[in-house]
Amino acid sequence: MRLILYIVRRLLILIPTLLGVTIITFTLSHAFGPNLAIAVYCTPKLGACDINNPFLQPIVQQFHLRDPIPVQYVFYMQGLLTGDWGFTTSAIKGGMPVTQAISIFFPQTVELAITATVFATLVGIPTGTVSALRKDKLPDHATRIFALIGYSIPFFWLALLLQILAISLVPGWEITGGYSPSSISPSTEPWAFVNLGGTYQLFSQPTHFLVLDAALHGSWAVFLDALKHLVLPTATLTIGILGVVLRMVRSGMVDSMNQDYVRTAWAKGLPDWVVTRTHIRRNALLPAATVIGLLFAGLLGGVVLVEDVFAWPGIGYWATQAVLQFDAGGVMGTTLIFAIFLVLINLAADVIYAYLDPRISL
Amino acid sequence: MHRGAKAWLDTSGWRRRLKEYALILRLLMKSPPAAVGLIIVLIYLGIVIYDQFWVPNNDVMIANFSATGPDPPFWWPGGKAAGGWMGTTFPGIDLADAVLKAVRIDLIYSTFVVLTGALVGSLIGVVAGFRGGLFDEALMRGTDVTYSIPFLVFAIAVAFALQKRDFLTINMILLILWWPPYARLVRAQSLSVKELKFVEAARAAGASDARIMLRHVLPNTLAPVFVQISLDLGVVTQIFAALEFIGFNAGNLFLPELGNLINIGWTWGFESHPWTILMPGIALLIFTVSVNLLGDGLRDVLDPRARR
Repeated sequence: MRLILYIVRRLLILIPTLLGVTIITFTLSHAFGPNLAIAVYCTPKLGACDINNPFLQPIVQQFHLRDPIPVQYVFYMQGLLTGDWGFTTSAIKGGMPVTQAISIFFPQTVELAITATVFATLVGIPTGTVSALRKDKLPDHATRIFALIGYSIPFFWLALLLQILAISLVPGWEITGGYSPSSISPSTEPWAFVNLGGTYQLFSQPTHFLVLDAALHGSWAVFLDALKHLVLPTATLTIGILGVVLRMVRSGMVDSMNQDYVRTAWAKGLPDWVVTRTHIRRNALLPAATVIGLLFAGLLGGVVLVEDVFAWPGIGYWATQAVLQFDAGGVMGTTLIFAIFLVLINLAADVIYAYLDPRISL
Repeated sequence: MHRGAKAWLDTSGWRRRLKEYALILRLLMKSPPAAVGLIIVLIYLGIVIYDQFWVPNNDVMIANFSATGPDPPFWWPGGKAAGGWMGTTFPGIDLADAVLKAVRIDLIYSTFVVLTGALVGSLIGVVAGFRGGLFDEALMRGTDVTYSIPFLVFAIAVAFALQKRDFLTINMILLILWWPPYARLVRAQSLSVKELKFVEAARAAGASDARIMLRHVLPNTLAPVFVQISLDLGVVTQIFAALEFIGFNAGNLFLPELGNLINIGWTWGFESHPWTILMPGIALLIFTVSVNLLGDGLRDVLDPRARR
């Protein structure tokens, strides 16, 4: 019951934060002149994105772009809430509404983020445990050096480095230039594509994660190929965030190893693994749970660069393309969706933390 | 002279503080990783000073369009003497020269951003923590919101709204976005410091609010700020490089900047010329690793509770 109240309270705090985020994206798109504001909404078919363009007058009227800024904000919010986030020209040739582009690109980003977080957690917690138990011994030093390099290394450079390593070490590995598995085509795997006015965009059904969908449809060639494409981006992000997980787990464990209740547990003769698991690590994992939330903040910034290097069709790749092609709708849409995603992840991390540590939700 | 100004100029307090810093430095040098970090940071600083005063044309890379192609460094398998000790990249740019110049630009601007952010953020944070009230509340909610947008994405959006993608604009954006963490840090510290006895004593002695904030509260909140500055230097350098890497260098393609150099190598086929991305990347990595070592060492020295 307390937990539910806590969640409700956190959800209420979410509202001003999200409003603040919309104020920022609104300011960025509307405060620098009406032509930028209209560029968020205008489609290439209607001609130049200028407020005096007669074809754009319906948009000017719908979003009240000639009215004072506060009035514009009300109609901007109305647009956001009714699903009109603008129009992106950089996502695919000919462009599409921002909301549709998000539905296509978002699953790819989530796929990368989830796999990287899962791997970092799976590797990080046992390794951090070993590192803490063998404090100041060889495994500890090795782990700490690895962690140091992991959180110091620039994501985009690590991505390039892993590509060089894969090319020189794995025979037959080549830079394929993006997430377009060679074994897949719209004619043989219709479930993996969506037809956008003659352009086929990768958008697999039903889970939108190509690896899972290929397995569900039993196309093992596609499955293996998709898995191969997933390896390097996931490895890049995993190495990048593993450093933080390792540090948190290690320092949390070292902290709780010095606690009195741990000494008591040793003293009463409990076996090693019981003390390690139930007395030390349980408590050390609490801060690690919040850090996984914080990780996403770093991860989402890193995702932009990693997707760019691997031409992975996610939100981050779309964001860089939007900037380079002067696509206002794309920039504002990606900023907003990144912010919402991050806010929700942080909420989830806080709720998990409250669940793990009953003292929090009091 | 105004009484407050005279007190500000009184150096005895700062001399005492200087002694404290000397002690911190001695403790720092006792930990081998921190000492290594400090020495490497000093070497980078030396490179910056050398570039600043003794290298001509230190803000542009020298291209040689008649060069046949990128040469590997002389120690590379199949390397030639023509490549120099870091090799060359496209179009005929000597990497040894370019990377050294890039280190100067990256370090000067990231230091500028971090120090300005720390100064502005600390002042705002100490006022918020000390005064509390509506200003404090507004600041905290404001920083909550800026935290909820991934930094790189935020910088991209601001640069887009300004319709400018040159190096100075990136600097301006980072300056605007970089103070909130410091404000939060100093605010949290000053909340506890302002309850301490010496603040009460200063108030009893009739010190003004401004004097208490600047002379009593602020100096005692600075330890985590120094740690944060040292860790942030690496982060900001990486963000500069990242923004340049994804193509924010529209203003100046020959700007010697590590991310720009990596981008050049990436665009022109790094798989057959790995050194074009390896050399600038290693220069960046060594710097970020050493500032992180230094920052961790500082944290251990300044916050004995965190010492493990």
